[in-house]
Amino acid sequence: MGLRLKELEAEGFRAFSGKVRLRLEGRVALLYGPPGSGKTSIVRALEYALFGSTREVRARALRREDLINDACGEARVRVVLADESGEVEVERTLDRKGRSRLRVVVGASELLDERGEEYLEERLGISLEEFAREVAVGHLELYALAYAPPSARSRLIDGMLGIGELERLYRELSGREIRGYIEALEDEARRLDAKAARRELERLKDEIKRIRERRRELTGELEKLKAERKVLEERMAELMKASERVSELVKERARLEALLESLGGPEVARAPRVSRQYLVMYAEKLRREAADLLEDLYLGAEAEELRRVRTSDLEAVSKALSSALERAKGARLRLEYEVERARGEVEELEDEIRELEDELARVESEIRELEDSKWRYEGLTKKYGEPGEVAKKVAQLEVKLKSLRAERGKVACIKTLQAELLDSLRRGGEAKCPVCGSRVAEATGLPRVEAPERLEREAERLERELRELRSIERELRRLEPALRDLSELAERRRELEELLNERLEELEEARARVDELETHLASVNRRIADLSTACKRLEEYLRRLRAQELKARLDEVRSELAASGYDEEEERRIIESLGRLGARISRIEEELKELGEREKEIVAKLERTRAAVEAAQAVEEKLARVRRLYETLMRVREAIREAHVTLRQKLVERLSASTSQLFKAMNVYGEYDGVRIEVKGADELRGRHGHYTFYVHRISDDKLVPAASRLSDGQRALLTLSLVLALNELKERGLSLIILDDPVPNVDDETKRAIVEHLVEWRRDLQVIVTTQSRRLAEEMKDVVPVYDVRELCSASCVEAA
Amino acid sequence: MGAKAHGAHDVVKLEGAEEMGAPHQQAAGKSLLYEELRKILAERLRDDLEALRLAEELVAAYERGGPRALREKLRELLREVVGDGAKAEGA
Repeated sequence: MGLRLKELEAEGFRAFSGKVRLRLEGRVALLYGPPGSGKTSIVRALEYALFGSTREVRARALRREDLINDACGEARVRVVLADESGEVEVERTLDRKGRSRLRVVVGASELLDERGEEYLEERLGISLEEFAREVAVGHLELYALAYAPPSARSRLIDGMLGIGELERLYRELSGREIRGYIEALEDEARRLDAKAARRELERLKDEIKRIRERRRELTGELEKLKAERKVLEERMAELMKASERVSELVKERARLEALLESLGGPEVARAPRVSRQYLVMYAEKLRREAADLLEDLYLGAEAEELRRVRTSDLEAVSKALSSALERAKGARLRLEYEVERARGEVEELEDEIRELEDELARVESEIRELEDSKWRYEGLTKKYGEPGEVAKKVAQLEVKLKSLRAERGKVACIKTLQAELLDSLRRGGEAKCPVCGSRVAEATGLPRVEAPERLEREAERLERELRELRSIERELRRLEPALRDLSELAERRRELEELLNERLEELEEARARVDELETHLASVNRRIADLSTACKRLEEYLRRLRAQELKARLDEVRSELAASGYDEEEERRIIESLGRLGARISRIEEELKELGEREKEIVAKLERTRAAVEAAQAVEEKLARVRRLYETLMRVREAIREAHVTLRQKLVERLSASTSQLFKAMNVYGEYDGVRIEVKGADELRGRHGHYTFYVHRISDDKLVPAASRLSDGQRALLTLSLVLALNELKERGLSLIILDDPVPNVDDETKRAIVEHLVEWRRDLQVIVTTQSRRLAEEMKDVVPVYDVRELCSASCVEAA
Repeated sequence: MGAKAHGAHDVVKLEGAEEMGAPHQQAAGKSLLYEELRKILAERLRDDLEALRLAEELVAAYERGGPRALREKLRELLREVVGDGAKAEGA
C-alpha cells in the first residue's frame, strides 16, 4: 500500500486568506462546500505541496504568484502523508517574488529544497501531469477525455496504460546510431580497399626482390672491374718508373700537346710553312704604316713609341700594333667628332645666311614702298620750296590777310559812317563827323574810299592761297618721317649686305674645312681597315709559326722517347683501358646508388602498405562484428514490437472488463449494463496504433451500441469516470490516493450517491476523496463516510472568493 | 520540479500481478509491465540466446534510466564490439 493523505494545512493559498486545516479519518472522505468555498483550492494545495506547482501554473494559465491569496504576502501548505512504515511531512512556502521553499520531514530526517524534491520524486513515483490526469481528477479532466478527438484520446489512454513507454522503447531501438557507424566503417573499408592494398603489397615485394638481385649482380661486376683497374694502375706505375728522363719527356710531350691543342691542334701545324724572316719584314712594314697613321692622327708620341719596338720580337710587335690600332680608332672617333662639328658650323652659317637674306628682302620691300613718298616730297619741295620756306610764306600770307581784313573793316566802317552822314544830310542838311566832330556840309566833301568788294575778293584769294600752302606744309610734315625711315632702311640694307657678304665668305671657308676633314677621315678609315686586316693576318701567321715550332719540338721529344725504348703504345692502351674502366665503374656506382635509394623508398612504401592492409583487415573484422550486433538488435526490436502488440491487447481487455464493472455499478438507471473497449484500425506493421472505440451493452435489445452516439452527456461523464477508475485499478503507485473533484456535476443526486457508495466498497487499498457541492448528498452520506464541510475547516473569515 | 526518475513509474497491474504480493517499496521501483515484457521476450527469443541476452540488457537499461540510459547502453555495446571507445562515441 502506498502513501495516503492524513492531514493538510494551508494558509494564504488561493481561496484561503487565513488558515485551513483538514485531518482525514477513514479511507473514503466527502468534502462538501458550496461554490467558492475552497474545495478545489484544497486539491490544488495538495498538488502544490507534492509537486511545487499546479496544473494551471504548469499550463501557464496562471503565474505561480497567483497561487498566493490577494490578502497575503506568502502562501504556506503543509501535508502529512502516511503509510504503514510511518509519516512523511511535506511543507512548502511561496512568497510574492516567486521564491519557493520545501521542507520534507521523514522520521527524524529533515530534507530541504532539492534533497526534498528528490525524495518526493522517488517516493511518490508520479509526475504532476499524471497526478492531474489520473489521481486528482475533476469534471474538466473527464470532459477532456470524453470529448477529445479519437487520436488524442488514444494517446491519453495509451499513456495511462504505459503502452507509450514500450512504443518509445521500440522507437529508441531504431539502431540509427549503429547503422551510421556501419556506414562509416563501410566507407572506411572502401577507402582502405583491402584487396587493392594486398595486391600492392605483393607487387612491392616482387619489385624489392628484383632490385636486390640487380644490386648483387652489379656489386660482383664492380669488384671485378676494380681489380682489373688495380692491375692496370700497377703496370702504369711500372712504366712511369722506368726512367726519370722518360717521365720528363712524357710531361713535356703532354705540355706540348696541350699547347698545340690550344693553338688549333696538328691541323694548324700542317698548314703551309711561314718564314720568320718574312714575318719580320712584314711586321716592319706594318709598324711603319701604323706609325704614319698615328702621326696623321696627331699622336706623335705614340708613333715614336711604336717605332722603338724591336721587330725581331714578333709577339711584342703584334701586341704594339694591336695597341696602336686601338689608339688610332680612338683618334678616329675624335676626328669624326670634328667632322660633325664642322658640318654643324656649316649648317649654322647657312641658317644665318638664310635669315640675313630674308631680312634684306624685307628691307628692300619696305624701301620700295617708301620711295613713292620720297618722289612726292621732292616734287612738292621743287614746286613750293623746302618746308621752312613754305612755313615762311604761310606766315607772310597770314599777316597780309590780317592786314587786308583790317582794311576791309575800316572801309566798311567808313562806308557805314558816310552812309549815316549822307542820310543825315538828306534829312537835315548838316552832319558831323563822328570821329573828328568836323561839320560836313555836303556829300561831295566826303573822302573817297576804296570799294569793299575788291578787298573782299582780294581777301578770298589770299585765303585760298593760304589754305593751299597750309595743306602743302602739312603734307610735307607728314612725308618727313617716311623720308627719315627711308634713310634708316637704306643704311640697314647696306649693313645687311656687308654682313651677308662676310657670312658667305665664312661659309665658303667652313665648307672647304668640312671637305678637307671628310677626306682625311675617309683616308684614316681606309688605313685603319687595311691595318686591321694586316694585323689579323700577322697574328694568324704568328700562330702558324708557333704551332710549327711546337710540332717540331714535339717530334723531337717523341723521337727521343722512341729512342729511349719507352712503349708508348702500351701506355696509350693502358690509359684508354683505365678511362673505359673508370667510366664503367662510375656508371655502376651511380646505378647502385639509385638502386639503394629506390630500395629505401620501396621498403618505406612496403611498410605503409602493410600497415594499410592490417588496418583494412581490422576495419573489415570490426564491420562484421558491428553488423552482427545490428542484426541482433533488429531481432530484439522486432520481438519488442510483437510484445507491445500482445501487451496492449491484454491491457485493453482488462481495462474493458474493469470499466464495464464500474459503469454497471454506478449507472443506477440500468438502461445500459456493460462497456466494451476495442482498438480499431491498428496495424502495427505499418506503425498505425488505431483508435479506442467504446461500446455499451443495451439491455433492451441485448446489443452493443457505440457509446459516443447513444449516451447522454451525464452517461458519458459516468463512463469516463469508470474508465479513469478502471485505469487506477490497473495501477499501483507510490501514492495510494484518488481525488474526485466533483467529477460528474451533471448527474442527479441518486447517481452521485451510487458513485460514493460504490467507492466505499471499491479498492480498499486506495484512499478516496470526493468533493461535492450537493448539500443533500453530504447530509445523506454522513452516516456512511466522514463528511467535511470546507467552511468549517477554515478559521474565521479565511475564505475569499477564489 | 524535474522529470521523475525513469522506472519509478506507477505500474500497471496485469493478470496474476496481485499474486506476486510485492510490497509497495518494491513495486515503486519495479514495473510489472516490464516483467511481463521480459516474459514475452523470453518466450519469443528462446531459440535466439544472443538476441535474448541483448534484449534483457536493453530492457533493464531502459527500465532503469529511460531513453538516455538505453542510448548509453547501446553505445557501450558498440564500444565492446568495436573495441574502440573513442571511435564508437564519435560514430
